[in-house]
Amino acid sequence: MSLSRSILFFLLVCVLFSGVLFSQETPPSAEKAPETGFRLSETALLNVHFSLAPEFESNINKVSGRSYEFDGLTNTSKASNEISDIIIHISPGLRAKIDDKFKTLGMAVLINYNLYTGVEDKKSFENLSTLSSLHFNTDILGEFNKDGNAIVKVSNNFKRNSNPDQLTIENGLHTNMMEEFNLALYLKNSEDTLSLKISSGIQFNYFEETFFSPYNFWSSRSNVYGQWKFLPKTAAFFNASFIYQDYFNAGAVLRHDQRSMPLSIFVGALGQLTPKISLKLSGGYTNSLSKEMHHDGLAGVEFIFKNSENTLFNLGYLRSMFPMSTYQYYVVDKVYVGFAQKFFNRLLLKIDASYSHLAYGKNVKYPAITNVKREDVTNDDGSTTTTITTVTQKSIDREDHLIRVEPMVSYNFLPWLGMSLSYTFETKQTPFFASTRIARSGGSTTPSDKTYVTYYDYMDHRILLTLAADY
Amino acid sequence: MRTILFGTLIVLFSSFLAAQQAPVSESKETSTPDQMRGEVDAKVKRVAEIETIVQRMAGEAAREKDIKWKLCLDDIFASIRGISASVLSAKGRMDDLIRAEKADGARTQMMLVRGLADAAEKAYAESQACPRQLTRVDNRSTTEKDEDKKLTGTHSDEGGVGDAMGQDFTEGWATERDPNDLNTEDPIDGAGTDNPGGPTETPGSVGGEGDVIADNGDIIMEPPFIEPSPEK
Repeated sequence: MSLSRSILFFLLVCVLFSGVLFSQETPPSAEKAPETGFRLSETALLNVHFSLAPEFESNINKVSGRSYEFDGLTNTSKASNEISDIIIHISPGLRAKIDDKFKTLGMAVLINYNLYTGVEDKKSFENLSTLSSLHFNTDILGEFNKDGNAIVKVSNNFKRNSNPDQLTIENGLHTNMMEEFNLALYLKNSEDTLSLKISSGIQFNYFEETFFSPYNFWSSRSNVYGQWKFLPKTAAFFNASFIYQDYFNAGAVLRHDQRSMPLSIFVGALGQLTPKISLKLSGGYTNSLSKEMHHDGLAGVEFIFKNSENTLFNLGYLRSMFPMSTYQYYVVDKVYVGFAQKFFNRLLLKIDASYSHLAYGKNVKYPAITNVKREDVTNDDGSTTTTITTVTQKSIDREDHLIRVEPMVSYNFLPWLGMSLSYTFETKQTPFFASTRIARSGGSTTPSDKTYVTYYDYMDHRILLTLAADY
Repeated sequence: MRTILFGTLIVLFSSFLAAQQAPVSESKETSTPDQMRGEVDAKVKRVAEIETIVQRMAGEAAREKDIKWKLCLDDIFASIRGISASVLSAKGRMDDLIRAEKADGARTQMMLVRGLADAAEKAYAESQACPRQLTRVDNRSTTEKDEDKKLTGTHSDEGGVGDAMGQDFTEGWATERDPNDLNTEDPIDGAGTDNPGGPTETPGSVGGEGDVIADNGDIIMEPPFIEPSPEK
């Protein structure tokens, strides 16, 4: 309730503030095209954002219909069900920047309140209303010495996000906060044809629930990038980066084993071939310097057809590697295609589709097909309670297939006001499953024997209607 | 012939009379002090607006390193600043004269402000006609020459590599705008190839990013192994 009041208060402040700014605005010059944003001074600009987006989602926690829970004592099982809902996203935001010849200072704040309405039935509403959550995304940016040959850029991003539990909706939300700081130095020649970027950043991810604290991590990301722009719209480049990701709250052994350190080096060229066709080609080498060393290739190909600023078609393939908990890393092969067409500079039709194949590294948390852990706890009365946890998985190796199709239609009444309707079909197909059996006995504890069988395949349909105002 | 001559003389004479009457009619300005203040305030605001616009253009010329454009704008900007100072000075004098109830003097200052505002408008029109150099060097596109256009197919002064890769295709569309994007110029213009990690898709060309729920489930570092809590 207090959260709703806070949002209402924020909206009221936004409305009042924008009203004050409107009243301060000087009459627009007849010669100048209208720009969005409130110019507070010669160099300061303020933008206000608000969007309201009701969304229907057929499987809000991306559960597999094959997952179930089995009680060994009563010999009963309970299947997992897909739960659909309408979620209303309410997102007010502000952007402000001071921009002149030498520097840019900026900040952006976006609040996203997700209201789960519980349309399926009253019972689910009681459960689902607890999923309503407040997310936010903030950015701070500073660019200095912009007109020189050495530019310094500092940026910070801090956000809060959450997802419903994938096993059962009764487990509620898992919320994480991500903080990222980056510092970059750009060196360029006077002709702007040769550029070098040296950057370093730190990420910190924190789960609010103690249960997920072993997945908290910090990572450092260092990068060297060089570019030779041999034609105005065409460039050759190289990129070398090293990521160190440490799960500092995991146990000592697991922390060591799942630490992920991918090193990536690749070169390529991108840009315009003809007035309508552009291409990106890149290839290189990557090595996960984790417990299991994994050498792999990197590749990226993208074909772009762009016609008269109204038609855009692209087709691409990429192979890349990313750090990950438990499996150390995963390698993704992705094919994607997109088409966008503008009509009368008001109507936009878009369709994007992609297929990804994800191959995971060795599971260091559960390295065998069957993993048994016994835990004995001595009670106050001297008795001992024994808990045996058995994790069984289909295989050591895991592969997932992810398909996503997203058509969208958008109509912009004004440059700052528009409406869009999109549909997203997403499915993950994987033969992988894992079961966890927890058997507890002994002492004064009531004996229990439960098995949770989790499959990771799912299907999800989402229909999203967005009304967006960004002035 | 005599009729034509006579007609011509009448026309010339009436023109002469009209010309003689013009200053008389101006001197018979009957604006009230409030009306004069209102008009002068509007002129002052407009001159200040012109000054800001031309200064911004001069800044843009400096950023683009377009020396020819900048020199032209600098001259005009200097004139406009002078006009702006004179307008403010005349406004101050007019206010003093109104307070001293010297209506004729105040009207003279108002006329002066009108003339200066006209001069500012003329200077503004000249600033719009300032020539720009053909070879343009700026942050987004490098030295752009006619012969290069034949090779690259460059058909626009705008954009660089990112533009060629379709990165800004839906720029300016409210429904496609990233609410957190501060719209700053990319110093490297690499269409996203400068990020740490492996190759990635060109940002902005694929996917539904930019709407309000872009972060709903995509960015979260989802634990791959969802384990049931023993307490549940």
